[in-house]
Amino acid sequence: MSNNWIRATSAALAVAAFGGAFAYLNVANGSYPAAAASDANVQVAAITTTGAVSSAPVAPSAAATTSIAATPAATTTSAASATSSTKSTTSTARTSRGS
Amino acid sequence: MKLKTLFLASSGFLASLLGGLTLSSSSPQEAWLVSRASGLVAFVLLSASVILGLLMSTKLGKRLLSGKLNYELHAFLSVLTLSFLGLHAGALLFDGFFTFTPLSLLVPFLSPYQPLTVGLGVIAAWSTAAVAASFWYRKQLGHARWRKLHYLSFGAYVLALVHGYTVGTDSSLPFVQAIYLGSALAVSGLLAQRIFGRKPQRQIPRPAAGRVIAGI
Repeated sequence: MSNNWIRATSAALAVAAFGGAFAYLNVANGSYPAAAASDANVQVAAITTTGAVSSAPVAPSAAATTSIAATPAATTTSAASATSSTKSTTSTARTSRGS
Repeated sequence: MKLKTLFLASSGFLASLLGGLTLSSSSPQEAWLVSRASGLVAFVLLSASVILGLLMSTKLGKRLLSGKLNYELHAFLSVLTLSFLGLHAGALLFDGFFTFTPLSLLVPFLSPYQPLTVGLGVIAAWSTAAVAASFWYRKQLGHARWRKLHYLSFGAYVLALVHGYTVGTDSSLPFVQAIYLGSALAVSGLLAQRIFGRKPQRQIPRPAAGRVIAGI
């Protein structure tokens, strides 16, 4: 077998392996695509340091930072419940990436 | 066909594959899947290249392939590894979750996601690139320098293994674990054989029979 044949065969095998890996990861991690899609378009309420609730869309990473940092003493009941829902959403997002 | 031509051809093919996948997909996770799949394939190719190199240096591969063929395949696999590494990193630019920039992909420890362990992967990629490039400049480098530079591949392999296992979101899957474990066992076993095994005896050139007779 010539060198070119071996190179062509190994390159073809590598591309086939890539296709197989792509399909396998897609199926094996089946919960990821739906979770990622919701992560990308997620809109969560951000709690400011003063306890006010902002309805503006916030990226999941920013929401996580805000929700951890913002634990004001004067937080109202509604703000507290919003915080817990934010944490829950962020937790789902992180789990989906498996980090 | 020259290695440079093959590298350019395979890079062009993979770039078009990446472009097609990302443009045709409507959801951002496709790019993440491309990156993960190409990262795994790059690791397998790097492992195969390192294993072939060790088979050559330990002389264990003589029965499987001829020396020249083994060397050609060893060099080609390292070039092919680079192509898939390009796809692995390039796909992250299209990820809809993290904001990777070209700089964060090229410079270690600037990644927005796990900067330390992703940085190890960037160093591994640069080391692999240096070793792969050394195949083209072997004559200019000289054998001794080329050989020393080649030792980088072991560092690159270890860093790639650590990077893949710690950063990869698929490391919990049994199939992926089998890839890492099988590769690590094969490489460490051959490396142990290379270090502690019997040193290959240098052939001492014997005088030709004709000369001996003539000398008499």
